[in-house]
Amino acid sequence: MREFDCAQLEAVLNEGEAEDVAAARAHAAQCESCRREVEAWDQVAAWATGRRQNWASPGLWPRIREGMTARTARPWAGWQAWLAAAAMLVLTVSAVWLVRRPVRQEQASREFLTQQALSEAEASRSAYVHSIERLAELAAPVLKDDKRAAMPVYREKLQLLDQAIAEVRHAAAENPLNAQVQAELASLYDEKLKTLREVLKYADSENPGV
Amino acid sequence: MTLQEPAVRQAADLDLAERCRQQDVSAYEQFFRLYGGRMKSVAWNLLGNREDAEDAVQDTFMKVFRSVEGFQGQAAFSTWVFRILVNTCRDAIRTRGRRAEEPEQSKEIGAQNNPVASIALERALKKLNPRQREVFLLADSEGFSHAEIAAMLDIPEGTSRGLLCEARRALRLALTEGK
Repeated sequence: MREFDCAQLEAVLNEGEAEDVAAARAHAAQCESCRREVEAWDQVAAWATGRRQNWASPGLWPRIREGMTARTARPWAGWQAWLAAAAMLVLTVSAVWLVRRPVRQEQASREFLTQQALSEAEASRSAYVHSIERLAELAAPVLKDDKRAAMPVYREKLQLLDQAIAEVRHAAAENPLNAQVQAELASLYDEKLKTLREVLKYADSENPGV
Repeated sequence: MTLQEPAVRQAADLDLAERCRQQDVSAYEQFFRLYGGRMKSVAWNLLGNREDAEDAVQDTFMKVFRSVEGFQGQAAFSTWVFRILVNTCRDAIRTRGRRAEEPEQSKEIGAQNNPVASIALERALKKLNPRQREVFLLADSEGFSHAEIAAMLDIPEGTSRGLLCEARRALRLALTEGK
């Protein structure tokens, strides 16, 4: 029998191969301290193995199965409930967005069209005003001619119209959506145009050869 | 017997896992027939009484049923389930406290060993730190390998070996000191 190192006993019993364990046990039969150690080892091992339990539990599996069945039958339990709640939330948010979005778009669209119409009206009016001013330039020499009896009256009328136009334009600039102001302004311009035509017509009637 | 077995058993384990993943209750029943007894024993060793042990096994099955999608296959399915069982027992110890049934333990263990030695060992077992105690019970009482214990307790295999050596030494010391 080969020599056995007592210091190696614990390591061999813990992790040794069967052959090494057999050698350790053979050595322990001859060595008092190793014999006590091996006896304690065996006692602990037997006690540990004796702790393994085995008892009948006829009601345990039925309880487990019942729990599983109940869970399967309750689709709104646990994470599924959270998932369903999340899905509902997404649907609700989507629905609200869908309902509100067209309104917002419609509002934006209406605002855009209004702005566009105002711009177009402003452009038309600018062209209209420009043509009236051109006409006023043509009529200016005639209006300054005091030899024509009606001219002072026309000058005064046109001055009043220009003052009124300036006031109404100021009001229209502050409130471009006020249709009444816009109509009044258009009316004043029409009146000015009509007056200027009368002036020019009057001058033509007095100088038909010109 | 260990949970890790040759290829055939591993294939059966994977098949069982797949059926459990599909919420097939009969697959769980098969698992219970195969491992239910051992699960009860592990739970009893960790909790100290049968009622708590059965509750832990039931809780474990329900947790597995709810979270089987989380099984990634790094370890055997059965090892994964035992890991959940150990964690369930830890939770039970934390929330309910350890309610060991001293008369039941002493009677059963004393029948197979010297009663005085059994009492000394029971006391020594309680003095071990929780990790040492878990490793010792899983290895020497339940017969799990270090690889399985490492997977169950989420520790390296070397740590499992070291903890087992420490636990065995402390228990032997309790016996020799008692003499």
